Amino acid sequence: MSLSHITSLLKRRCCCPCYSQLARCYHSSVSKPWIGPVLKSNHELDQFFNTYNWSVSKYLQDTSSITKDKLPSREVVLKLLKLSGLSSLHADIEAIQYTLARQLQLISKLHNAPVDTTELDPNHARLFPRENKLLTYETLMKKIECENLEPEEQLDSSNKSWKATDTATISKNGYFIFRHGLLKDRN
Amino acid sequence: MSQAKSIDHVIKALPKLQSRYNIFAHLEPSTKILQRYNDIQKNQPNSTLAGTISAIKDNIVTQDSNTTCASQMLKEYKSPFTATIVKLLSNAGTTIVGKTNMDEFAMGSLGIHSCYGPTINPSRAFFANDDMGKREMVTGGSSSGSAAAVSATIDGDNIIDFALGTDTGGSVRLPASYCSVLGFKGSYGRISRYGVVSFAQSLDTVGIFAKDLPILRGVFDVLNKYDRKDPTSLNDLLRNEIIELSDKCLHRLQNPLRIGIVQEFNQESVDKDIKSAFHDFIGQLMEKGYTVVPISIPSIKYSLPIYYTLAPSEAVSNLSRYDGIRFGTRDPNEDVNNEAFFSKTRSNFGTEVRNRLILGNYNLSSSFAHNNYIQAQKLRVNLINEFDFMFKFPNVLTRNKANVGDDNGIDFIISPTSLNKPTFVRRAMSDKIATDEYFNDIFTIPASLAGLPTMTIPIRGNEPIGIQIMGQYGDDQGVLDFTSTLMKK
Repeated sequence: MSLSHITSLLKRRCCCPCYSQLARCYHSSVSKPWIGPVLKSNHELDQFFNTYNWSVSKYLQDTSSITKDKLPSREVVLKLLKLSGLSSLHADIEAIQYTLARQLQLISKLHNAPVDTTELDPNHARLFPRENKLLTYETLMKKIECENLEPEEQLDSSNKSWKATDTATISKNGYFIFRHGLLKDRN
Repeated sequence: MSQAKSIDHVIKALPKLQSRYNIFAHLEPSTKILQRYNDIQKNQPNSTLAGTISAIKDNIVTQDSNTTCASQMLKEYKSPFTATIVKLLSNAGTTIVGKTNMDEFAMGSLGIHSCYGPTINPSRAFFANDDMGKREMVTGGSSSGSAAAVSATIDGDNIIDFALGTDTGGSVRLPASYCSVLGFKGSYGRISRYGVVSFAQSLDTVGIFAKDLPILRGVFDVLNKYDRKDPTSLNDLLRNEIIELSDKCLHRLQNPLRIGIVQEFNQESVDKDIKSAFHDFIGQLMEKGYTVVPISIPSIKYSLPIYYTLAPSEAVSNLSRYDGIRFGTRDPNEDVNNEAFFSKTRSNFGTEVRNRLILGNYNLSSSFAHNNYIQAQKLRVNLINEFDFMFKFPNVLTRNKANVGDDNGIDFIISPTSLNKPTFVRRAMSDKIATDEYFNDIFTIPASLAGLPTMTIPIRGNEPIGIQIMGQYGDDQGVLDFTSTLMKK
């Protein structure tokens, strides 16, 4: 199969059944990864570089053309500011509305992905071994024993923990101080 | 290991670096630098990094100086402990001269979101005043000061041999590319993050800047260790398994390597100089006998939305501790008013950090979530699986079937590092559309999501044009060896 054949297939957004000659292709109705044939000439390389099947600038256009009717409401922004622990008193709410709208326009592309996600385990998103041995009581105790053999030299030797309040601006007798007490009649 | 230069020259040069390029958030006193350097010469002259001069990003904690993350929020913060990586470097004999400027809490791609002001790109700096004022270029971010420190010269001499940065979505590779130096981020978990202030813990990695590859490799060898204090550190069992796999792959350097170029990275909007340099580079690889194959990783199209869902969500959690009570510059008068808890203290956050906190809270809020977060996680898994499908080298974390013994698998992926060349500082700072900055990460974010080891190298002299070499998870040595081969040729 020549590269020009492949590029013409790509332009038609045709997927795997057409690539049966390629060693590693999936058969599916959604986009799947593939490894193409070796590029053999500068001409084939030029063809590759002149073929575009997707553009990130489309995202940019989408986010820069936000209209007022697509803005998140003022109430939503006020709620998010509160959740974020940020003041709304001197905040430029309209600017935040526009920024958030652009961010959400970008993120909304997640839901356009032609991927069947039903079989995907979201826990595998973390970059840890996907298969782990079960942690038994014995192995747990052994781990704790090893930890105790290597004490952290910078910890407080008396209780083997950080003096958490040492970095606090205001503290008393090892306690953090929270000012102004509990709120009443809060919106 | 260090390029020959006198410590006196270094000490005299450091204030010049600072005044010209705004590289440092904190510069050690000359007497301390001199004493440290002389102590090493006397007591550990043969240690791995003896004689080298280095700097570290200001989100890596040290007991003896402030760690501010370039934020008003941490302006006076001094950690009660020192990061593992700083201890390792000190034991290996380097002299750390200061903490470097950065985008606040590592959020940014340009090096302009800092309470210390922007870092100036040494390789692209213009100092003549004209009708536009000073025409200075950005360094890229977020590890702006570290990239600039390594790039800058005084009287033609390099001053800083290497610097550490952190890379969550490209924060080492992008500034390295803009400043025409080497920038390497290891596989996720390779280098300890104990004592690195978290931005997005499922993505954060430590990276190394240098001009000289042997120095970079020497630093990596020092830092490439399991750390029991970092729960995300790659354990010794897996490290040993990777070494065995690497030994089996030694034949790679005798046979023509198979290089993948990614169709989804072929963007019409790439700067024409970057595109032509990359095109020429791949053409030269073909001439030299490398096997170049086009590949498609469809999930790359969704890497920006995945990243900007997951990273701000994790940032919300990590930055919730800055309430002034436990951490952060506390408001002198009150912790709460009728608006929100700690809002006066949290007004110390800069605009870009606030933008991302608001987005992160949106993603996590049950009222608005629309399953963004879970969908992003699932698509991240899909992206990792697609990368696994490409490589000959197996992924020890996923145990997905690799292309071992199969001619169709590839050894490395090569792509440009950035979509654009650096812009003017004034222009970047006046740009009001925050999201525009996000798009320049399109080439760097996929490797971050999959935790892949990636090196960026300058390919056109001092021009701010870099390419990335990506290897399979764990194949850090392979990426470094391949970089070495490329640089020799």
